[in-house]
This record gives sequence, structure tokens and C-alpha cells, in this order.
Amino acid sequence: MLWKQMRQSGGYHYLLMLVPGIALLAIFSIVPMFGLMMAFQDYNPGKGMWHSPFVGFRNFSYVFNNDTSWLVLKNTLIIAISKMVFGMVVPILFALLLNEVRLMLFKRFVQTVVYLPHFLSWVIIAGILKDILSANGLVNLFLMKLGVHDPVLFLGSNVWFRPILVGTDVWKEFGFAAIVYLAALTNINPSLYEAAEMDGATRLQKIRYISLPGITTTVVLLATLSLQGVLNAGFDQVFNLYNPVVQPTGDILDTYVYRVGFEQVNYELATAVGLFKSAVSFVLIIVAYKLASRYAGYRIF
Amino acid sequence: MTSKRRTAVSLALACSLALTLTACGNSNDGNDSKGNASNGKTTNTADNTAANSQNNAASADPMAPYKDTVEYTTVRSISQDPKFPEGQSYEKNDWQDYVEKTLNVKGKMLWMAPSDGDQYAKKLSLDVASNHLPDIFYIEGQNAISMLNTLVDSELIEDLTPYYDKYASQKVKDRYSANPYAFTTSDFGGKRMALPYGMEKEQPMLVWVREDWRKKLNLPEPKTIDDIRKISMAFTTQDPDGNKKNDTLGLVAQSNSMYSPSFDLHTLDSIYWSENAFPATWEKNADGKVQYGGIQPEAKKALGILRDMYKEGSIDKEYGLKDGGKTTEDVSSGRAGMVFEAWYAPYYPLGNTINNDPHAEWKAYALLSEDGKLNVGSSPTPGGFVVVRKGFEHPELAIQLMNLSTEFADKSIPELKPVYEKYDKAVTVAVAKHAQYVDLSIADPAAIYNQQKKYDDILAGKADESILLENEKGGLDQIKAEMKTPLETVLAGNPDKDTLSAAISNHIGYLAYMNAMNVVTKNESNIVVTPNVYSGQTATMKTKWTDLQTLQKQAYLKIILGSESLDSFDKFVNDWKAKGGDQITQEIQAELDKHN
Repeated sequence: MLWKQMRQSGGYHYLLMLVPGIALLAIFSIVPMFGLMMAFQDYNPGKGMWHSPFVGFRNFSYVFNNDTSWLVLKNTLIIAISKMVFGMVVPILFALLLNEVRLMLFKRFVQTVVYLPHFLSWVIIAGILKDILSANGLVNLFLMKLGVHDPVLFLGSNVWFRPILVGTDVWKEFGFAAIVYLAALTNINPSLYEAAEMDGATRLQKIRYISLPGITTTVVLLATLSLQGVLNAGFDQVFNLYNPVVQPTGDILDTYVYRVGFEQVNYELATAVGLFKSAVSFVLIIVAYKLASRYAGYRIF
Repeated sequence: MTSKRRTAVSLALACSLALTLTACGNSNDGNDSKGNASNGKTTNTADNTAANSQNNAASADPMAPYKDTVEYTTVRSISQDPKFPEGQSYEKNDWQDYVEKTLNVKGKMLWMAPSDGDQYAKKLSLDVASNHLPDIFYIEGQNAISMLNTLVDSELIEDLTPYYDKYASQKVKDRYSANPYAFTTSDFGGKRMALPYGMEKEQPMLVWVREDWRKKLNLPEPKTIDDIRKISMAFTTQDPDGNKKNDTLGLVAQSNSMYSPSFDLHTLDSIYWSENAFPATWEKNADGKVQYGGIQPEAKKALGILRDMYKEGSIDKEYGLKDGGKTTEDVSSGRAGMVFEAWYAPYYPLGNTINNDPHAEWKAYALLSEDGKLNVGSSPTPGGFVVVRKGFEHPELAIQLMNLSTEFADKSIPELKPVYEKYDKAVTVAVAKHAQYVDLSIADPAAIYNQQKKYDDILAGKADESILLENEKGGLDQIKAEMKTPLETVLAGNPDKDTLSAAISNHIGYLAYMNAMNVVTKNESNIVVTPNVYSGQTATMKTKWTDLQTLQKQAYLKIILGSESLDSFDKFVNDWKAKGGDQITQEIQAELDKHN
């Protein structure tokens, strides 16, 4: 259909707009796939990818017969899923609340302030966090004033490490994520609100019956898209905040790959873990897509 | 028609882009010449041998310049704050100029990375993975041995045997042969694949204490672990710096590397060693069989002590969170009162404390075991290796650069005297004192011991200065300057900036030699070395060693930080054995039997 329409209107040049997208995909996603070959090889940097001997699934059998891999997968899932959930809920709530603010100047100001952290790198934020959360950092000084005796070592605690990862990630990104929802909210027909007002709806009821349903499609779309990163628990963040004590709860697939690959000079194992990660992600995306189409009627094709 | 052509163009564009990239991706294939500008063309070994034999025939003199300028690429690790003289840097300095002029070579530094942490090793690992190797480079850091094994297995580096025999200067050869362990890790089946460096005669870890704090709080000098615990506690709780704030620390240590196979900064080695525990060492037991130090009862005992220390607060509360960079920061900023490091600690980083607060005083003590031994558990692993990329046309250049660096370190080139003075005046940090792209001087393993004995003799009037080598004079000058006008006196006189920094530099030298090295030489007869008998990589180690190391580190940390009981050590030992430890031990035993 689309094709026919385009031919009729002579709109082939629109296809040109695909070029940057395809190029990006080729550079960052398709070409690197050849590197996955390493996962099936006894990789030898001297011979390179094309001449190293193949060993079948040896690397994978090692990965699957290894406690660390499973621990790391568990950590990754817990951290990534918590980040996804809170990373959805908080911006939506924030957008709904900000949408109720009538004072434009204040609204703009708040919006600007909350999306700024998005532009800071984790290296910087981690440096600040380490100071704030240290034994004689701000947070502990405050707790001491409240009567807590022993300083809490937040970054060295297996109880606190994951909440800190999730919390700081949400703090960094929620302002930026809320932009989309705010945009979706402005698309809702104002006459709906006016009609609701005539019927005597309260603010909460307006949110419940008009705003929320109005942005459902956007929410489902973004939720589905975010699933592609379900195993990306955030290398930058974990790597910068990480220390040996929190390994049992904080070690994620990406840091594990990094450790095995670059610190232990074992490239083929690292690639195998990476491929394993991609395979799991692939399955999760399909599942999520099916769920989205069944329960929210969302379909791409 | 037009639109069809446009489509074709856009498709072609996309395809060509994709193709170029694939082509780039392929450049890993075989011996890559892209990353190595010096080659200009792809080389093969046959060509090299021809080129080399020609060169060999032309110059038998190890130091003779090349006829045509030879270009080479390299990478290096650098000190964060090297304090170069005005206008000089790692990339542009008098030493490098001298090297290039003397040998008619042209070096190109591809990148530099800080030597703190494992940043250099990690960056280098990326280069190896993509086979973009510099021509000459060093391997160092915690993964040095596995990296060397990978490079040899992958046939990425040259066999240096013939070049070493032909080009190494007599001095370099003599110094290597003074060390019985010199080539144990770098010779592979009779082939000298790498040249180790940084192998000194065993260096005990010393206990460094903030002496001004200790005196202020009226504490005794530390002799036993109990003394250390008391002092550390007092430093943490009794406000030794007198600023009425609870902001000081006692003993600081890093947990990123918890016990060192080589000399990592600020580990807890002294405590392990004083309990005869060697957690990272393959040692020989009473029957002459190999065993891993990390699973022995002595390690459990040491962990028990560390656990108590952490509980009572005589080890920094944030021990589990710190790496060497963080402890260095603690020490430099003057927050820390105690640290374990070898004799050279005043040069880095303890000197920073004094630079920041000239009234700070450090003093070194030896922590002996109960039976009076000063244990050392890390010799003889080298600090690193220098290797040459396979296919580089002039492997001998690495050895020539080594010859030159050794002369630099010995200060035996008269022509360079003004440069030495310039660098001394700039208070350059020791590691950048003779900076060039490839900087690996080979020292006599016992040099520092011998030097100290000479200083003692001279100061006692038993000998005169003529017994000193050129490079040993600077240290004595510093000692004498400090003895004549001690830092205290200078400080009292309201000095200007230059006078003060010169005085601090003298004071640092004095501390390193007259305090720390003297502690070492006085205890020389007590020093007992537990050598690491195996530092290669067996087949099982290749897949399982990472996990076993993680297991050990986690088990130790949990015990020290108190989240598991001390008896969980026994469970760890069983786990360790079951998860490949026993098999690795057997493989190592077999390996050792083969050579005996």
C-alpha cells in the first residue's frame, strides 16, 4: 500500500531519509555482529577473528557451568527491571503533577532544573555520590545529627547498593523522560477537561479518567521500547560506583564481561557472555511485544 | 526515471558505507600495519630477518646509531603529577631528545595512561584485543602474567633471545645474572619472549606512622600488631591533628587489591606476612610440594586479626570501598596516620603529605613476626615486562633503549649532567626522573642495599665519597643537606617557596634512606623471603582462575568486614579446592616436576 502510494506520488526521495538510520544501524549494530564469531572460537588476537580456530560451544558450556554467570544475570535482571519500573512510574507521576501546575514560569523552571542531570556523565555523578555517601559525607553527618551512631557505608552495603543504583538512575533521568509525557499530555483535547469540569469532576478524577488514558499509548510504546535494554543495567553507573564489597549484589553482566575480557585477557569468554546477554534480550523483547499487542493493542506491524 | 536513479544512489551510498566499515572491521586480519605508522608497509618475518642480519653485520656496537632513522611506536604509563622542569613533559624532554639523537631513532607515543590503578593495563588490553599493537611496549599491572601468556600463545611478540645476546650491554647482562629468578617468568621453552624489569632484591613492607601525631598523643613506638592497633585506634578517635573535628583516620588500606602478588600500594601485606601468611603466593610446604598460601591456616589466623581490627575500628571503616587511588588521596591530604609501604614510600605518596603540610612527619618501622622474622612474600615477581611486537623490523631497539635507560639511571653519561641537575632542581618525582618513551633501566638487584651500606659507612667516617657511583651521590647530598639544615630549621626561618621545596625534597630523600632503608638494612639478617614458585598459567587456570580469585577476595572481605564468621574460611577452602583449586595445584606441581 505504502509502496504503491509512494510510486504514484513519485515520493522515492523520502527513502533517502532512511540513509542515516541505516548507516547508523550498520556502523553500530550490524558490522560489530561479526565479532560474535569470537564466542565460538579459541580466539587468538594474532590470527584475528577470521583465522582463529573454532571450538563450537566450549565457551558457552563454561559460561553456563559457572556460578558467577548466574549470579551476575540475577543481579542484572533485578537492577534493570527495578530501573525500568521506577524509570517509568516516576516520570509519569511527575508529568501528571507538573501538568496540573498553572503558573507557566514555575512549570518551565522546574522542568529545566529536573532534566539537567541527564547531561552529566556518571563519572562526575559517581565522584560526587562517593563523597556525599562516605562515612563522613553529608548524608552520614545528617544521620548523626538525627542520632544514628554508626555511619552507614551506603556504597559498601549489599542492602543499599541496588536502591542507590536505581534511585540515582531515576533521579538522573526522570526529568528528561518526563518531556515525552508532557508532550503527550498537551495533545489531549482541552474540551474533554472542560466537559469533565461541567460534570463536577475533581482534579484527581480528571487525571484518572482523562490524562492517564490519554497517554496510555505513549506509555505502552515507551515501555516496550525500554525492554530492549532490559539487560542493560547501566555499565557506566555500576562501573563507577562499584567496589569489591558489593560484588554479590552489584556485579552485572557488563561489568563481568569487562572484567573477564580486559582484566583477565579472556576475550572469547567475554564475547560468549555478551552473546548470551543478547540472546536473552531478544527473547524478552518478543515476549514484551506480544504482551503489548495483547493487552494494550499496540502493534508496530 | 529520475526517482529510480535517486534510489539507486541512496542504496549505493548505504552499501558503500557498510562495505567500508566491514573492510575496516577486517583490518584485524593478520599483521595489521594501520596502527603502526612506522611500518608503512606490511611486513613479514622473512623480510625482518633479512633487515636485522644486515643491521647486525653493520654494527656490532650495541650503542651505535642507525644509518637511517628508525621509527617506532610505543605507549606508556605515567605518574599523575610528575613535576617536570619547565617546558618538559613525558612527550618532549631532554632524555627523549638524547635517545633520538644518539640512536638516530624517532619515537611516537600512541597514548599514555596513569600508572595508578590498573588503567594502563586495561587500555593496553584493548589494544591487544584489536591487534593494534605498538612496536615496543611494557606489560604491567595485576594481569601482567596472563597478558604475557596470551601474547606468547597468540604469537604476537618477538623472541628476543638473539637480540638480547647480541645487543644487551655488559652492565645490563651482569645485573640480570645477579638475580637467579630474573627470567623465570619470561622465558618460554628456552625463548626469551620478554625482558622483565623492576626486580629488586626483596623489599619488606614497612609500617609508616605519622610521627607528629604519635608524639602528640604520647604513644609508644610500634613493635607488634597490638601496638599498631592501639596507635591506629588513637589516631582515629583522639583527634591527633588537634582541629577539634573527628576527621582523622588510623591505618588506611585498599581492598581493590587486598594482598599483593607484587607491590601494590597500601595493601595489608604486613599483617598477613607477620603471621606467616602469604595469601597470593604459590609456596612450597615442608614436603617440598606446592601449595597455595591463600588457603592455609596461617591466612585464617591473619584474617582473624584483621577482623578484630576492623571491628574495633583500627582499620579504616571504609576499607572495603577503597582502591589505591583513594588511599593515596587520604595519605596525601593528611587525613591518614598509618600505612604499609616499602622504603620508597616518601617519594610517593607520603611526600605529598609533607608538601601539603611541611610540619607532617612520617617514620618507618618494621613489623616482625612473633619469631622475629621480617617476612617478605612477593619476590621475585618482576614489576613488568618489555616486549616487542612481532613483525617490528628492529627488535634490538628495545634492548638498546634498555641499555641507555640503565645508563641514565646510573647517571653515567657525563654529557647529561646539566639535565640531571635540572631535573633534581625541579623536584621531579622519581618515576619521571629520566623520562623517555621506553624507560626501563635495569638496576643491580641489591643496588639499594649496597648504596645504603655505603651511606652508612661514609656518614660513620669509615669510608669516603669516592666509593659512591655517580647515581648514588644525589641521595647522599640530600641526606647531608637535611642533616646540616633540617626541614624544621628551614621552616622556622620563614623560607621562600624555592628554599622550602628544596628542603622538603631533601627531607624526603633523608626519610627514604636514613630512616626507611636503614630499618631494612638493620633487619637484613631477619629477612625471610617466601618466593612465589609458580607464576605461569596452567590450562585450568585459564578458565577458572578469575573465579577462584573472586571467591578468595569475597571470602576474605566478608570475614574482615564481619558479615561472615571466621570459620566460614573453612568452607571457602573447600569451595576453592572443589572449584578447580585442587586441579590447578596438581597442574602446577606437574609443571614444576617437569623442570626438576
